[in-house]
Amino acid sequence: MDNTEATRRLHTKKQTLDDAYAAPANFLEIDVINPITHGVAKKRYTDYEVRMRTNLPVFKIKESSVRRRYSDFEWLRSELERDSKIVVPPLPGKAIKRQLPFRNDDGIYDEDFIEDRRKSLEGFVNKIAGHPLAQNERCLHMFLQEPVIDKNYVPGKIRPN
Amino acid sequence: MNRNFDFHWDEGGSSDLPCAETYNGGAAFSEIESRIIRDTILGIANQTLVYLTVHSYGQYWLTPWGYTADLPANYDQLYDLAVRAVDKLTAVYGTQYTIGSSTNVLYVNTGPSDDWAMGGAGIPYAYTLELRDTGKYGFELPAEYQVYQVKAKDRVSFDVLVKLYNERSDVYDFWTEPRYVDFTTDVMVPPAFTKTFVDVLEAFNMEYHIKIDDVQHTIIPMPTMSKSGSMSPLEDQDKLLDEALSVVKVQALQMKRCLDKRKLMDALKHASTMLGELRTSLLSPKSYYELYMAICDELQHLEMYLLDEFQNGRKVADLYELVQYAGNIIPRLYLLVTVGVVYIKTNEQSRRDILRDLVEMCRGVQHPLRGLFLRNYLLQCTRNLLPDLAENDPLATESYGNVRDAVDFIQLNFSEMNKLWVRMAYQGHSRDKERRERERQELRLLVGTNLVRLAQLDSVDVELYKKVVLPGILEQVVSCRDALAQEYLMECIIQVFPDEVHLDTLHTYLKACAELHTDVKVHVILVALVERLAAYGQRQQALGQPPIPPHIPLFDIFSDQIGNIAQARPEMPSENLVSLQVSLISLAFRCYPEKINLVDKVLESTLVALDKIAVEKVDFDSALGKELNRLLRMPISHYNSLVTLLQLPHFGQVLQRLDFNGRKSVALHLVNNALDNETYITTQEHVDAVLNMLAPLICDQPDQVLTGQDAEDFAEEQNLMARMIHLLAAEDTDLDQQYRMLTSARKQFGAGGARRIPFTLPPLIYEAFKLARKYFDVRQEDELWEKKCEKIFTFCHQCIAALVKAELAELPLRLFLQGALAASQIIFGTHETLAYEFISQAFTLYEEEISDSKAQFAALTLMAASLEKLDCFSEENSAPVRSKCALLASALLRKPDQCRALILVSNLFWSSTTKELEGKPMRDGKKVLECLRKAGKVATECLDPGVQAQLIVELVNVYVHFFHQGNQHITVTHINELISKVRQDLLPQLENSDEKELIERHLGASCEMLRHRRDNPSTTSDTPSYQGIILD
Repeated sequence: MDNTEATRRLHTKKQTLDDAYAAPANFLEIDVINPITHGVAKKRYTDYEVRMRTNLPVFKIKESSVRRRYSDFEWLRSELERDSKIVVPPLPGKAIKRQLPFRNDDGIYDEDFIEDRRKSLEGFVNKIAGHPLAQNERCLHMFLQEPVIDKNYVPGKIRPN
Repeated sequence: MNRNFDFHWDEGGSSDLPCAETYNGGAAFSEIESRIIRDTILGIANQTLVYLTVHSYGQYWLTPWGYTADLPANYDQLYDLAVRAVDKLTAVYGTQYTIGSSTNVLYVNTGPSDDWAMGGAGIPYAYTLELRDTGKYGFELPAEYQVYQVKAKDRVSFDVLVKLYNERSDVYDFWTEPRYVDFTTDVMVPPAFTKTFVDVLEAFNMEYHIKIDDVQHTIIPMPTMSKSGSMSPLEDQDKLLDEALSVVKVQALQMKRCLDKRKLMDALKHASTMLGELRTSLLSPKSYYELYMAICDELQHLEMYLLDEFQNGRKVADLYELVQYAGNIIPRLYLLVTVGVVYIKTNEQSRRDILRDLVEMCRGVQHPLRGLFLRNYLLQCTRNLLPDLAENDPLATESYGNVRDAVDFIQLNFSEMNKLWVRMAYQGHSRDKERRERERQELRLLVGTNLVRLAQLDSVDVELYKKVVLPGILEQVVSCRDALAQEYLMECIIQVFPDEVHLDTLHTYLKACAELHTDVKVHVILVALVERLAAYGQRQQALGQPPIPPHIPLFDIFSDQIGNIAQARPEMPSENLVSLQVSLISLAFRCYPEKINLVDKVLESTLVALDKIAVEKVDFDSALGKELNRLLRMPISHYNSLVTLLQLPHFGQVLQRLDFNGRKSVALHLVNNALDNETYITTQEHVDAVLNMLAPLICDQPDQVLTGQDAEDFAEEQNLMARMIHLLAAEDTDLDQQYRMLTSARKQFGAGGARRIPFTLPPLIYEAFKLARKYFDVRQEDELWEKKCEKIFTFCHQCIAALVKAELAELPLRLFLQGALAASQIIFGTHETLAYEFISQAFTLYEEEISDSKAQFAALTLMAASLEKLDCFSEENSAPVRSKCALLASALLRKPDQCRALILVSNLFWSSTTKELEGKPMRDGKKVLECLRKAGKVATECLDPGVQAQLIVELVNVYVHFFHQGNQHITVTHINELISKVRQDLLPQLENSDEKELIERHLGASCEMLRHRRDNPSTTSDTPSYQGIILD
C-alpha cells in the first residue's frame, strides 16, 4: 500500500543546535520589591524598588534598579495613555478611603495594603513593559532605567538599533 | 497562527522562536490550522466579499497591510465599510473601535491571515477585529458569561422582561425573545451584571435557573490556559488533578461505549476530548504525569479496537489522515501516534515512513511539559516497532527500514525532548529557578528513556555506536550547555550502554567531558565511569581474562584526558581534580594490580596539579585537604605495607604538601596500619624514609600547631611510636644492619625533644640490649662481637644520657640499672667496667636528681634489687656499692623508710654475690645483723607507737627469715626481745582501733608460724632449732 500520500509534509528547514538551545531572546523580568515608607506626617510616602532584568535589544541597560512611588506609576500611565497607541492597563486604586483620618490601622501605610499594592504595581509594569509598542516609548525607558524621572522630558520614541 | 500565512511571510514582526507569541511556524503554512483555513477559503474565495478574523484585544478594527506601512489600493472602501461597522458597534455597546491598517495602528506583522486573504486569496474586504477588552484581561477574555433560563410567571414580570429586552440589549443578550407569560427565555449575562440581573429576577419573583455557568468553558471545553504558563499552588493540584481525571473517566467510558457500538467517529471525538485534558498548564509535572498515565491506559483500548478493525490493512491510511483534523494539536498528535502504531502493525511496509512522520509531527508541540510527555508516549508506543535489523539484513527493505532508521528516529526524538527539557529552565520568573530545577530533575527519566531505547537496539554494533550513536548523543549533550541536563545525560550514557563499548569510545566520551558546562561536576561523571570500568576489569579477571583488553591503554587514556579536562576547565576546584586522581588510583589498583608505578604516576600528576594552583601547604580541613588525605590513604590501605609505599617516590612529596594536621593524620594512619599488619622494616634506608614520613609524630615541625592538644592524645600518639620501634627488625642474620637501623632511628627520635624522648628512647634502648644479647648468642661466628657489644652499650649510655639531659631522673635511673644488669649478663671484655659505670651513673642520678622522699625510697628499692641480681662485680667493685646503699638507706628522710630500706639492704649482704664467689651467695651474717640492728634502732625512734609496732612486727619476720636461713649471728633471744617489746610496751599504748587489730593479727600469724616450727622440729640438721621462743 502506498503511504506517501498520508505522510506527505511540507519541508521545513532544520533548526540549528544553537537555535535549539538558545536562551529566549525576549527575556524581561521586572520585580517591584522592597517597599520603604519615608518621612513623617504630610511628607510621608512609600516607594518601591523597581528592578529590571532583560535581554531585549531595545533596552540599552540590561539590568537596572530604581526607586519609584505610586505617583510615578501614575505619571507613566498618563504618558503612555497620551502618547502610545496601546491600551494601558489600569493601576490599583488610589485608596482615598484609606487616606481619611481617624482610622484604626495605618491607612495607606498598612503593611498588608502596601503588599497588595506592590503586587498590583508589579503586574501593571510587567504588562506595559512587555508590550512591543510601549517598549518604544521614551517615558517607559526613563521610568525603568533613569535614577530620577525628568517630568519635563521631550516625549518620543526610541528606535531600536 | 496569525504569522503563518504565505503572503510576505517572515518579513518582519514575527519570530523564529517556537516559544514566542509571534512564532511564524518555521515555514509558511507549516500548520495544519492555517492550511485548513487556506484550503477552505480558496474553495469559496471567488464568491466571498468580506473576510473577518476575530482576535483579542484592544478595540481595533484593522485593515491590511501588516507587512508594510503603505496602504492597500482599496483602502478608501475598506475604511468606509469599517466606519459603518464601528458606528453600529458604538451604537449598541458604546465601544470606540480604532480604525486603520495594522502596521500603522499597531505594528509590523507579516504572515497574518487578513493580509493573505486580501493579497493571496483576493478577497476585497479583509479585516482583523481586536475585541473590546482594553487590557483588563488581555489576550484571554473573561470566561464567566452566564446563561440564565428565565420564565415570567405573571404579566408584570413579563413586562419587565420585555423592557429589558427592548432597552438593555446592549448588556443582556436574549437568545430567544420573551413572547408570553410562562414562556422560557434564555439570556446571556456578562459578569458585571449578574448581580443586578438576579436582583431584578428576585424582585419580580421570576422563575430562573442558571443554564450555563461559564459560556467560554462550554464553547471551548478545555482547562483555561494561563499565559505565563505558571502552575497553580500545591493545594490546588489535587483538586485540579481530580477534575481532570474525572473528565478522563467520563470521556473514556463514552469512548468505549461508542467503540462497542462500532461508532468510530464518535469514539474518536471522545478520545479527543479526553486528550484535551493534557493541554493544561496548571498541573505540576507530578500531577501531569498521573493524568498522562491514566489517559495512556485508556488509549490502549482504542489501539486494541483499531488493531482488530484494521487487521487487514484496509482504510488505515484514511484514518491516519482523518485524525489529523482533530481540533487541537495535543489530541491530534496523540491520536496520530495511536493510529500510526496501528498503521505500522497492520502494514509492515509502512514502518519507515510512518515512524519518520510521527517523530517529525510531534514537533508541533513546543510546550516543554506537554511536548515531553507526548514524545514519551511516542517512544513507549513504538518500542517494539523500530526496525531493529542490520543494514544488510534481507528483511530490511527500503520501506521497512533498518537499524539506521531506528537510531535516527530515537535520536531525533531525543534531541527534541532534550531541547524541551532544557528550555523548561527558562520558563517563568527567575526567582522560581530552584523549584524549576527540581521539577526538571523529576522529568529527567523521560529524556533518559531515549538513551535506554538506543541501548536496547540489538543491531547496534560497536562500529555503529562509535560512528553514529554516541557522536549523535554527545552533540546534543554538549550543545545544550545546560549543567543539569549534561550531568544527568553523561551519567546516563555510562549506565545504559555496555562496558565494552565504553572501552572503545573512551576518547570521544572524555573529550566531550572537557567541553561540558563549567557547573557540571565532571569529576562525578568520571568517577562513575572509572568505577564502572574498574568493576568490569575485576569481573573479567575473575573470568580468567585480562581485566582490560591489552590494546586499550585504559589508564593512559584516562590520565591524559583528566589532564586535558583540568586544562580545559581552569576554574574546576582543585579538590575535584584530586578526587579524579583518587578514582585513577582505584582504577590502577583494580585493573593493573601489578603496576605500582601507575600509582606513583598519579601521585606525580597530583603534585603537578598542586604546583599549578600554587598552594604551599594545604589546609587539612579544606575540601582539597580532605581529598588529598583520601588520595594518600588509598595506597596505605591497599598495600597494607609501609615498605611498599616506599616504592612510590612521590608519595612522600604529596604528603609534604599537607599542613601539619594533615601530615600528622596521615602519619597516624600509617603507623596504625604498620602496627596492625606488623610490617617490619628491615634496612636502614627504609628506616630513614619511613621516619621521614612520620616526622610530625617524631619531632617538632616548623608549621605545627600543638596548642590545645590533649595530653592524653599526645601520650597515645607517642606510645604508638614506641610500639613502632619494635617493628624495626632486620633479618635475624644481619645484626649489623639492625645496629645501623637503631642508630638511624636514634638520630631521628633524638630530635623529638624532652616531651617525646621519654616515650621513644626507652624502647630503642631495650632493642639495643636485645641486640647485644643476640651478638652474645652468636659470639662464635663473629669475632668482633665484643667490640660491637661495647659499642651498643656506649650507644645506650648516650641514649640514657639524653634522657638525663632532658631533666628526667627516675626513668634514666631505671634504664641505667637495666643496662648494668644487661651488661653483667653478657660476658664480654669490658662488661664489668661498663656495668659499674651504669651503676655509678644510677647512684649519681639518685644523689643529684631525686629529692622527693617517696621517689628516693622507690629508687633505692630498685637499686637494691638490681644490685642483688648483679653478679659480675669483683669484691673490689661490689663492696663500696653495698655500703653506699646502706649509707643511702640510713640517709633517708623518714624513719619508717629508713627502717624498711635498711631491711632491704640487709639482704644484699646475705644473698648477693661477686665474681670471686662465682655466683655463690655472700652470707655475711654479721653485716646482716648490723643492718637489722640499725633498722630496729631506727624503728624505736619512731614516736608513734602504732608505726613503731608495725615496723617491729615486720622486723620480727625478717629476723625469723634470716634465722631460718641459718644466719648464726641471729638468735632466739633477738626474736623474743622484739616480740615482747611489741606485746609489753607498744600494744598496751594503743587504743582499740583497726590499726591495732591489724598489728595484732600480723604478729599473731608470725607467732603461729613460730609455734608450729618450735613444736615440730625439723629432722634435717641444717635448720636451726626454735627452742626457747617465747610466744605467750
